Amino acid sequence: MLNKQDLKKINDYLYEIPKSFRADMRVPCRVYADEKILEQILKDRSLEQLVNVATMPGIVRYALAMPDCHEGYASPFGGVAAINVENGIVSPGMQGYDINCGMKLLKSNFLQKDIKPYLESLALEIQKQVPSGLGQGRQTKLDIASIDKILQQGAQILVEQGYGEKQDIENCEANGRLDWADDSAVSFRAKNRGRSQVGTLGSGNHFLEIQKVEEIFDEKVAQAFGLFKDQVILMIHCGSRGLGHQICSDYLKEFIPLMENKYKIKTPDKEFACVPFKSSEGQRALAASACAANYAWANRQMITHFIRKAWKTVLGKQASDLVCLYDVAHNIIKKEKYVIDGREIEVAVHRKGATRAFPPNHPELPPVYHQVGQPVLIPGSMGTASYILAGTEKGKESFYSVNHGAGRSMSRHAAIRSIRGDDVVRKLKQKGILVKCRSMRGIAEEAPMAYKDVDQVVNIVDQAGLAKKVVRLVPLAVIKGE
Amino acid sequence: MLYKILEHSADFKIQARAKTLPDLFSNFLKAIAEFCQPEIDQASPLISHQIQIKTNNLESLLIDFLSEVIYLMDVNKEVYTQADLVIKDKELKGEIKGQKVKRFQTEIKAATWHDLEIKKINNQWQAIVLFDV
Repeated sequence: MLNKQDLKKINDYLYEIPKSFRADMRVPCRVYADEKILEQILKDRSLEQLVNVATMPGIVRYALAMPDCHEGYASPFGGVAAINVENGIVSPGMQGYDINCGMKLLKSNFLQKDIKPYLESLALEIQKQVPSGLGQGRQTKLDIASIDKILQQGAQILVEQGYGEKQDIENCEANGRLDWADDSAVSFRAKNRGRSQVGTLGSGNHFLEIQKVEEIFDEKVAQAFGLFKDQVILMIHCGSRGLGHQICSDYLKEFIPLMENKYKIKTPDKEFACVPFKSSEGQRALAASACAANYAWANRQMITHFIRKAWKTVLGKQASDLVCLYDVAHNIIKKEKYVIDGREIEVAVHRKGATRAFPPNHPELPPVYHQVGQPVLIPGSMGTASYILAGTEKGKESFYSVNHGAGRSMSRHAAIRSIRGDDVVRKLKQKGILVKCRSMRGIAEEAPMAYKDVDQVVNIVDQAGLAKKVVRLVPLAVIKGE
Repeated sequence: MLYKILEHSADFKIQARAKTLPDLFSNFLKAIAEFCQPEIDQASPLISHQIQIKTNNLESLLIDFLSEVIYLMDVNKEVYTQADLVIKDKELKGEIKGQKVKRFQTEIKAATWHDLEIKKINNQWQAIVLFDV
């Protein structure tokens, strides 16, 4: 375990673990945290895992940890590593099993007071329309040819088929499709798992929330994002479901012997299983990972379709459009270009529990956000605040990455032992928040007490200048699928 | 003790013990089933699946077995609580048995290789696996 003495304070929101800390480190580590959050991070093995990330071949500048950082497997959650594609590796374990787990946010024209009489029926209808996928669900099973189309074309194919609007694609990272996806790199097993899960939420920390804009920090940017006080918002958090999990498992299994025997790469943890980025195996893994990312964007698109359906069913003629603000991944490997030591290089940014946050004028942003930067969607823990931030130029120092949430501070096991799900529901009800979730254990596991304080975590990102706060959202209803 | 839950910030870390390797593997089956809290379809007959896995080492054998179980649970909406396995020379053969499920309360994404351990201590097998959940 690392101690506070092992870290050098760079400023009030940034600490460094020097390269000299361990002989096998290729770069130093940097941790975005204040003193209080750092103390929480030091309670588990997050930073030991971050030091392991710093040993990966091809890593440039720093192994980075965001303030929501907590222990995971291979890289910690809240970890970011940019790997030079010329001499570096690709590691599925450094993006995690839930490939393109991410956030999508829909804006309404309703104010909280307008929605209040419909809130209960709206939450119930959304819960009915958007299954978790853990029960009987919708019973739709796509054929493999349809899955292949989704793997190649992502959310775009669903919009073409009428399950969304053109704007859903424009306001989505990579326009909802990574074009290096190749469905032949994906196993039958992975595709088979994906057949009945398009439009399902999953379990764990995945959720839907009906929220309202509670506070505006930056009027100009909020206006550019089309956000206003008391506006009703819908937030979606989920990923690539069993298909993504299977792809990650498949490539880990393939890469461990390749790494040890063919490429002779040594890593401190087998979960880092990796091969050279430019190797044929590496490129195939990247193509498969892109398929999972495309599937996840399609999944969130289908969920959006069902939410819109529920919205219209409950609100009838008065239902205004639900407009997509943005959709962004927080578990992904992306090829991006950065100037490092005066030379532009291409890196594979491995983000595991970290959200991309592009600055104003970035060429990958839709024109509507060129002036103000990318909307950065940060969910809080159940019943607490969520945030929308905007990317900044200073974010370049973290490869335009920020946190992905509050970050756990208590294990699920400890949460179940010390928190009762029905107590959480009662307390949230007292705060006026509806909870629609079948599993009381799930509620206990995801209780706010099991997480860091999202306000503190987001403040660190804001104060460090990686992104700036635009609005704070609070939940009106938390929904976990039937 | 069939298994116990070890502390981990985010995921489900299990330590299982048994006298024999097949029993050790079966104990993980039970841990998975209990974690996922299935609502069993009582009308469902007993279902069994034949499993055969061959690997180069015991670690891979355990992860491949658990990955197979997770896959079958996910695609078939079934839970498996019994196993009849033979493990010899890093090869596993046998069957797992269970029932259809109406709903799981939660799901396991994958069996990871992180902190993976399988060893014999004083005539007893012990393994530790971290599951992503």
